[in-house]
Amino acid sequence: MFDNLTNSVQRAFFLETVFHVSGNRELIIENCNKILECSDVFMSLSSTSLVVQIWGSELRAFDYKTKGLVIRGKISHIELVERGKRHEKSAEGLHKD
Amino acid sequence: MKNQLRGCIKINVKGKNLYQFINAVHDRRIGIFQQYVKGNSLSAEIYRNKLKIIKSIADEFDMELKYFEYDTVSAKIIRQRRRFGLIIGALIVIGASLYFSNVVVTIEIQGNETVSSDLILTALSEIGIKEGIPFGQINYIRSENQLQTMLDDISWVGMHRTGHRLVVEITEIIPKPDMLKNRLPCNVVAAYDAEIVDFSVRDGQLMKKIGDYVFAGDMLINGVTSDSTGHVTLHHAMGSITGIYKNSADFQGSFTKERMTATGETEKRRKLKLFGLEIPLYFGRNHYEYSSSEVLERPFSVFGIQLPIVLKTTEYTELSRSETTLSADELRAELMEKIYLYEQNFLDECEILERKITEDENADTLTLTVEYRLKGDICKEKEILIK
Repeated sequence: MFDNLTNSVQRAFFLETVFHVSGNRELIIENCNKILECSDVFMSLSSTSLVVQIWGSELRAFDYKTKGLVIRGKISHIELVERGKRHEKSAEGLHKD
Repeated sequence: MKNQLRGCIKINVKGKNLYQFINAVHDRRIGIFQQYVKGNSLSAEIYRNKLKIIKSIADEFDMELKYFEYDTVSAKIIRQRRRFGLIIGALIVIGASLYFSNVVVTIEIQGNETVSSDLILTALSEIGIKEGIPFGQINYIRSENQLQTMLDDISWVGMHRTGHRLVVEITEIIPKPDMLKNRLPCNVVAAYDAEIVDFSVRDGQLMKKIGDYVFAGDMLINGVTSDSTGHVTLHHAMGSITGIYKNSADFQGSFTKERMTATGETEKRRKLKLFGLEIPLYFGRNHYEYSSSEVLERPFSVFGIQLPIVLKTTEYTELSRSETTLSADELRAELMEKIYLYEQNFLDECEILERKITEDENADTLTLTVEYRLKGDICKEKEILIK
């Protein structure tokens, strides 16, 4: 019930994570709270309810002034993991940094 | 392409708290681009004005910050900020551009043929329009009307602005042709006391014949004729009656004369006329008591295009006042020259049959009295019906 309420509020106030993918060259993410990892082959971002993991090459992050982030480069793989259900391996990788 | 105005700085941040630093930047909503992490260092680009905040965040998280600025327009300008000459020059250029784009630099007059441009410029300056006046101060409609009333020979005036020029378009009045009074009834009378030697009558009735002596004002051709029934007809009497008559003229000259003669001393004064503003290139005044001056204006031009920069040179020639005494022969020669000019100008339509010159000389003056015996037209029209 609490989850449903949270989802409704997020939807109502446009706080959900929004993606816009242009080919494999650009990915725009709205409501991105944190950058967990940021290298030229892998990026991990934390949004309201998701952890977004992006693989590719020559990845660059741009302009996250308004809680948004633009990732440009050659994107090969995007993985969305719910925040509470992340794999232990991924979490470990984050805390090492 | 980098933002040329805001400037772009490449940063390289190293340290243990790298992701804390990244997210602190993120939380403070600072624009940061091209960011990626390699090893333990973050590479990214920021605007120049964010460098201070980035430095403080780096200090806060104990990070090592290295940076350099890309070569942008604003960076180049900032680099030149100590070169005051360039700054002053640029400011002068900007100021001059702003000033000259808002004031009348040249006044161009179009469409005038008989009315001189100088006269129009003088009239314009009287109503307050001259080089250097701001365009915003010109009331075009009022000025056009004023100029039209000031100059009689102008029928229409239009003014408009073209860049820094004020163009004054003029339409001149087409003069009314003189009325030919060929049909007004008139008589022909004698202009001089004369002896008639020839005649040719084109209209009217001849009243005299060859060999008659007439006095000035005597009727020669009558413009009023009547037939046997008593019907009166009015004519515009026309004809040519040649007579021999006398005329005289006096020419007088003084032996002593005041003349202004050049001493040979000259002085040149130059002024630089810049957009109508005259800048003197000399000091002091002209100390000549009497002088004549000659003005020469030489505009500068580049590739045949005339610039509004003129070098105005005034050459003063010193004159001295001197009293000269002429001999009788010199004065006579001078007067004879006047007689020649008189004959050329006033007696060119007559035949001079005889010329008798008598001299009257006293202490100060010499008078030549010339008595002519002339052969020429003696007709003078006299209207019958006077208004």
